[in-house]
Amino acid sequence: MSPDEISEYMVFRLSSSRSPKEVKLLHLEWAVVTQLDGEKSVGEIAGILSLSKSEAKEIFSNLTNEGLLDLVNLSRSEHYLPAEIFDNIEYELTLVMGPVASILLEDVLQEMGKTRDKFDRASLGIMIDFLTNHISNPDKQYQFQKNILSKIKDYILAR
Amino acid sequence: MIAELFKNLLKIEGVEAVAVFSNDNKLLDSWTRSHINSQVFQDLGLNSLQICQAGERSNLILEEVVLKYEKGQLYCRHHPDFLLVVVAKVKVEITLIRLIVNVGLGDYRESRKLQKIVRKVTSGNTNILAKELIDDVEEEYLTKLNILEKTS
Repeated sequence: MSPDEISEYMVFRLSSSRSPKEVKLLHLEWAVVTQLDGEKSVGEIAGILSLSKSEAKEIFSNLTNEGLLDLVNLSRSEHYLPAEIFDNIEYELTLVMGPVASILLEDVLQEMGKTRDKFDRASLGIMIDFLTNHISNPDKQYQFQKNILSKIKDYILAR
Repeated sequence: MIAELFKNLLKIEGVEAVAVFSNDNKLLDSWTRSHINSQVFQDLGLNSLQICQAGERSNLILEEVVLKYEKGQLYCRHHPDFLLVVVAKVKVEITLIRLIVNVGLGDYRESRKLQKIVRKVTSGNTNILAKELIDDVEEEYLTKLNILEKTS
């Protein structure tokens, strides 16, 4: 697996067919190995070890190629949001910002490097944060966030 | 208070505990997914309030503090009437916690009843950096930063 094929949402565990002791590992690779529990995602382990995304992907790629890791699954966050949620967001944003809302929403999506049809759940909070920062009136910020939360909570909160 | 203002926090997968403290470090309300010792809650509140107060004395307005540790992260939100502390796993997006907290604080602003209750239990003595609440190392460090005055 190349580093580009590793997603921050992937979850790995140690392979039962090969032990890390059979391979010469670098210090950081050992650090990653000690964090593997079959639950933490690549992104979470990177956060714990203060690794950049590219460093983490490189290390996971090396470990996978050495046959030390098995892919458990993609974490839930990998799932994309339904595109119609953006109609709700655009509607609520229009109520507080007027007709510039749709342009602003597209700008924020572009800034984040995402599109309406491929937007993961984990990034939704960040997008709402960005959009809120464009609303200058605190009362309108509250109104927007309250309305948005009531509409998106089924997608982001456990039932 | 948590059930009224921040109940959505409890529905986030990975949120382990939520606590609300008055600014004089009284535990006003708490919720935990697994058992957490009450002393741990008290220490969390005290340390978070001390961070906010040390910031204030250095002319920093620390409305929000996020601390990461090996098994998770701590999100503290300081309000003039109380301090909210959320303990969550690393995978939880802080922006999601912030969104729910922002909405909860807006609801608090509109609830005179809750404001009355909170203000009633707060004594007003908010010197969380008082000598009896910090140890010698902390005192020396805060003195070096000119946050505390030198004692003879």
